[in-house]
Amino acid sequence: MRPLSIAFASVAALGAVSTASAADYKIDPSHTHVLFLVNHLGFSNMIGLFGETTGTIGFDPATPAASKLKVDVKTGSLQTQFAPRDVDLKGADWFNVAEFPDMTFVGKTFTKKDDKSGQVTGDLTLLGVTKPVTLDVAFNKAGVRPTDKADTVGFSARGSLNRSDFGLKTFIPYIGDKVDLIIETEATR
Amino acid sequence: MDLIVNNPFVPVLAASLVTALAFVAAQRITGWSWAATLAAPVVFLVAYVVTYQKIPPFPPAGAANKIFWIALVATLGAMALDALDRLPRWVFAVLAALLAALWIGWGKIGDEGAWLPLLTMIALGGLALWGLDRAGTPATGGDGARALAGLAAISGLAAPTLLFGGSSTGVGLCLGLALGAAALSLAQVRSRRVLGPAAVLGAGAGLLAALDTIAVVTRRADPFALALIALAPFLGPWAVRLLPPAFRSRPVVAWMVSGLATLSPLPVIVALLFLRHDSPLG
Repeated sequence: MRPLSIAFASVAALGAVSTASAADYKIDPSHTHVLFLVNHLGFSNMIGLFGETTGTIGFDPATPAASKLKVDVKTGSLQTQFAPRDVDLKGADWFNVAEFPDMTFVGKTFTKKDDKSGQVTGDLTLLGVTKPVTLDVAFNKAGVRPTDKADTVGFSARGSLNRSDFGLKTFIPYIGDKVDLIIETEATR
Repeated sequence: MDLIVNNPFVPVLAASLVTALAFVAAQRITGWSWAATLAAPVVFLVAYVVTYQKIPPFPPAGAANKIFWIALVATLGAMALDALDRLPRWVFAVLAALLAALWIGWGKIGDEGAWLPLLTMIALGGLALWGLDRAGTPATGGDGARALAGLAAISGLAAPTLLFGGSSTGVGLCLGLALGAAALSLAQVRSRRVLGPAAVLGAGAGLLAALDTIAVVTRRADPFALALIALAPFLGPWAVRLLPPAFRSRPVVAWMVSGLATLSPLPVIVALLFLRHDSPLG
């Protein structure tokens, strides 16, 4: 999803991809995972996964601030390993996938921390509400992927948001307000 | 305290009951009839705010946010139309059903096959609201207490329908309205007061809007359950008519029979839902 794109963008900002020049990478949906964790009644953290993420990232190591990132996550691809809960979460009271099928993230600022990490801040749009979200991004690797010979970059991103910021306040505090994000992605060109 | 901490439905039940009791007290102290009429819609709005933990923005984005405003607009509209005294009350019911279905389904109208659930919900919703309101009028020998008992019963019928339709949140809304309406009904049993159309139509339109979210937007509502809900309000007056005259003239007996008759499809609805759908309980 967008966090992934953000990760890419942040990597670009870091200038960590020595082989990269200004170019667009396309997020590889088959190697991109957007997970979220939310507290369930204090007993555990429930894990959800969005399985369908697309997007592009453009970056130039020489001018990381000019990086670009656009990510689109299909909210209907949500799965939590329990079908009745998936139905509920996709319904009008939660992600409302019938009316809001897309969750988008557009990177705005890309900040380098060191050669392997940085931060991406961008606008996350969910349920028609747009709020800034910041992700800590780790650059994992850049190079040619041996399986398909594609020029590839890989990132991991972590972050959190308050779902209430997007109007999703149902069952707080029984279901936690804070949502932790785990994003793993590869992008190719 | 543990009960409140561990059960997400307790806050909405408590808030709905307290709101209902506050309106009962206000009506008894002041004698204002509008307090009796507005009590049920306000209970619904309070139940919504506690369940969804917000007053949704206006204009609302998304079906769940529209539920609140539909209940409010239907309440105010019914009061205005009642004040004008130009239209029969069944027209209010149809207009409220039309408002709920069209507003909730507005973004889906262009979708393939969208009109069938939309028209179905307008028809069934109008029927249910008309039946609920009619049960509280002298035309059926009813009063406000019976109309509110019917509203509480319909809320009870809607709860499992929403749960199986993918809206566990709506269950809290239904239970809150059911408890609040039952308390309001109980407080009015002996008064035999007839309420304005806003009483049942305001809260009923909100409840209908919640059902519209699973019927029109996600299209996961069970049509047989919806049909039974639409017909249930007519069971109350019908059951009272079957009573021997000696019992029929007793307000408490007629009230109990009317409410229980309206609630009577519950086992059938639950059985249908379990037979026709995967259990949402795992």
